[in-house]
Amino acid sequence: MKIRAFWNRYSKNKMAVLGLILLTIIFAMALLAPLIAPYSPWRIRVGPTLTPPCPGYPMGTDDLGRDILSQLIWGTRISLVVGFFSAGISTLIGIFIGSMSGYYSGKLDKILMGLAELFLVIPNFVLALTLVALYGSSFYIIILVIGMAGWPSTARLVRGEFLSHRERAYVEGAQSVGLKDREIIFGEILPNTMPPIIVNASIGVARAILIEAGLSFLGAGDPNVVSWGYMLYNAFRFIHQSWWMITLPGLALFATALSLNLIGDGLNDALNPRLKHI
Amino acid sequence: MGEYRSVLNYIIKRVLMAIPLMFAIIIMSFLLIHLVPGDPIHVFLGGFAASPEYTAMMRERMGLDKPVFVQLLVYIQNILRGDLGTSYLYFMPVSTLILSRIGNTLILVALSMIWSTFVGVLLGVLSARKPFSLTDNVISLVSVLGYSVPYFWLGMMLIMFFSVRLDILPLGGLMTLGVEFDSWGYIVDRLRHLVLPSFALGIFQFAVLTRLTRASLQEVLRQDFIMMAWSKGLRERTVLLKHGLRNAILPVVTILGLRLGTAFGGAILTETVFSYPGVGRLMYDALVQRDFPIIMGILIMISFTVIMANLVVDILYIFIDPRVKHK
Amino acid sequence: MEKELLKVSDLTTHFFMTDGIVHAVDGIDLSIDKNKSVGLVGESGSGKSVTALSILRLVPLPGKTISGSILFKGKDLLKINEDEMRKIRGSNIAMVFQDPFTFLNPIMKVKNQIAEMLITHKTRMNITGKKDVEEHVMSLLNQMRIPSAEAVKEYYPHQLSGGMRQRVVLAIALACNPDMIILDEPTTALDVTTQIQILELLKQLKREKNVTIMLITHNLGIVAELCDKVYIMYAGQIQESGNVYDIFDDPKHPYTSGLIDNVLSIDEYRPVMSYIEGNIPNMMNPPSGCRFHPRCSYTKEICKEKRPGDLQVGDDHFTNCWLYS
Repeated sequence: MKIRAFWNRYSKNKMAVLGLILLTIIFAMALLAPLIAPYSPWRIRVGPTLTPPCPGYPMGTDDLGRDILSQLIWGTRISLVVGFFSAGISTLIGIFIGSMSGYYSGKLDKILMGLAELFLVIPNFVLALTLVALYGSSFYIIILVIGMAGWPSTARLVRGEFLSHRERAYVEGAQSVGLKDREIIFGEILPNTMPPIIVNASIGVARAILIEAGLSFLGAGDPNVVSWGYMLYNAFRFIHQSWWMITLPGLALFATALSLNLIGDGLNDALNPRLKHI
Repeated sequence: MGEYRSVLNYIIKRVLMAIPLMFAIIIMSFLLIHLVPGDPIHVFLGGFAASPEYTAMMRERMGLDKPVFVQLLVYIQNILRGDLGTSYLYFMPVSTLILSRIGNTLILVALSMIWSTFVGVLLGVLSARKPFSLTDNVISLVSVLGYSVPYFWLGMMLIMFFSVRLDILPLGGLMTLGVEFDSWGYIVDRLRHLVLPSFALGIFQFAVLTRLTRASLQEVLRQDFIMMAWSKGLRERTVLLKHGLRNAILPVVTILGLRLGTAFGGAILTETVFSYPGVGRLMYDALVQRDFPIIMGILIMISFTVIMANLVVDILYIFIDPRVKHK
Repeated sequence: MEKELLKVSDLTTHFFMTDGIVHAVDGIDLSIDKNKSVGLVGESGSGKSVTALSILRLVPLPGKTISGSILFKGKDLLKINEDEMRKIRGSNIAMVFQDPFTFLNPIMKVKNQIAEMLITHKTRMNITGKKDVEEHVMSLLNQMRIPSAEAVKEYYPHQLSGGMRQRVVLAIALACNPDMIILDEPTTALDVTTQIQILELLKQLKREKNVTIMLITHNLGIVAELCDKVYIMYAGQIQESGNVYDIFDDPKHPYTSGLIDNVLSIDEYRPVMSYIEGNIPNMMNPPSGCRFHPRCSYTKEICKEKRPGDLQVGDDHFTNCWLYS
């Protein structure tokens, strides 16, 4: 069974397995949020304001008396949704542009790569910030914006893969049989290039989560959702007094990004086995 | 002599490629402004509640009553003249504002890049030297932590620990008031204010560099000429550094421009957390106040800087990889 | 003065992979006298390159030399520490590798790659300063018959032709007047014309210099031209050894006969084409006893169990085959 063999290779990397466990926990928190969060994250004054962690409020309360634990639990939803959807958008754009570039080459390639260069020259975060400033900070815009900022790296990766696969025998075979370009690109070549794309995507999710957190921290996030970045935005004023307001949401971000990156590394090792020795 | 000719060709080619890119940035910025729903004049005015006369004047200055193509030309012309617009927040030309702050940011960015390069490459070399060893695994773990951590949060944690708790480093800002210029005290004071922010800013870069150096060096060490170097009886340090690293450092140099861009982007968050008066902080203030001239101006400035940096790196390549000269 | 420069006894080098152990070299014996040329002949996969690397203690992981002794000028190279071994590499024993393009540092000038040798072993070479180094470098380039040496020394490897590169590699190897040079397929990566040129150069060097040569190759043609003594290696074991005339005129081991028969013409420098039936065995699970037995037309039961050890069949002619017991 291919899956069994894959799992054997993947599980050799202990940290990757840890990452997977961590992500599963985070996913579970997101799914079960309504059931496990002790309070609504929005309700103010569920307890006294600015309380450090204590029996009633395991992670303390913020300046408006909201329960931090509940906010953390509900926040997983936002992070995961933004992360996966943004990464999904940039991966899709990247695949589309990269495959066109790599398969057709020539003028199209030059134009598309020029476009990629344009986006690469503007730092991700600066572009995202500018777009949000111009077009608003609604949740959906943020997902779109982060997705738009990240496609060049995927595109370059896909292009490289396509350039190398294009010359191979099976592609020539497919062309001689009369398959249309579209069928060859998506049906033949693309499935063979999935491993590095998947690895790139998983790292992209982590990156997207951190960008969203950064945007929210600057106040450019959507104030109507519970985002860990937004919690930090709020907590910054209290840096002298309320360590829990700062430490805990940040740890949540750290753990989520870390789990995704560990999984990405694990996938990389599992999909490109290296000859290790005893 | 043919060599000089091909070197010159190479440089000219690179410069010619950079110029359209800069134009593309300007055009893109123009498009972004005009794609905002509503009257573009609001973008140029920022959140300023302007008087009708001022609005009319701005409209004329920007050529907004003329056809789009003319507007574009006016926009390009302005930028090339160094006019990035006027900030409504500070009532100053944006370019002046940026110039007054850029020095601080450059120091911060430079420090972060310097430390991350040294430490990153060093750890990458140690990693590649003995793959899969304990050293390698520890360093790999540290680097994954490095690029997973939200560095602005790390900055806050560092402040809480070093400034609030231990009180050995300042909270933020550029310097302490009352310290005299032109004294050692001044330099030390400035440096103290730079320790935490440059550390936080460099963390991501350091992690990336460690991994990159490791991968690149491992790849190089597999090559035949390394075996030849060993057979010459050279010591490990020589093989690793003179033969290995010198060949493996190419990708590290290539991403220098990219890193500069990332550092500038990261400076926005870092300077905000540390209340450091640089261009990053300016961007944040502009964001809060919806001062679009500053926001767009900084976007363009950073992009141009990255393009310049890439150009410089491309030229530097000639000295690092002699094969480039002879293509 | 000791006649024997290098004596390899019962050398065994294995590669410890995740899915098994590759028995690359299994208990071989070699004896090389001073100023003689010895050829180590075999197909690819026979273990001959690993033998060379074992001598220099440069076997890459996951390989390891697990037993045997390598006596060089009386000292067992497998027992000395790394620092001592490092001093021997390059200065006492130097190696020339197969493909001069991939084995030269692409971003270092020719002169610096040669100079590096001289400077590393400067005590042995009595180097007094930069000028001394430069003189040595020029002298070496000239000895290798490299035209326009003044210009060439400033070049990078990619600016040179294949033949020139190989001459540079030879210059590097001979820079410190080593006692012995090991050449691993020195002509294989070159085109036929260049092969002949390099061979001529090697013959010249053999005449002019007091250097012992160990030539590793599958090309019987250059063995005939260059070597005094030949070892035939198959699947990690030495099958036959003797002086070059005996081996070519009177091969004893079936494998050797097979090789010699297949060389259509020695003058053509054809690489060995194995029309011997079968393939080289899987080195992770090699055949028992004599490893050639699955392909040998004369196999007896005992061949599958064990080998006889070296049996003398002539003056200096030995073979490890039951046919001669």
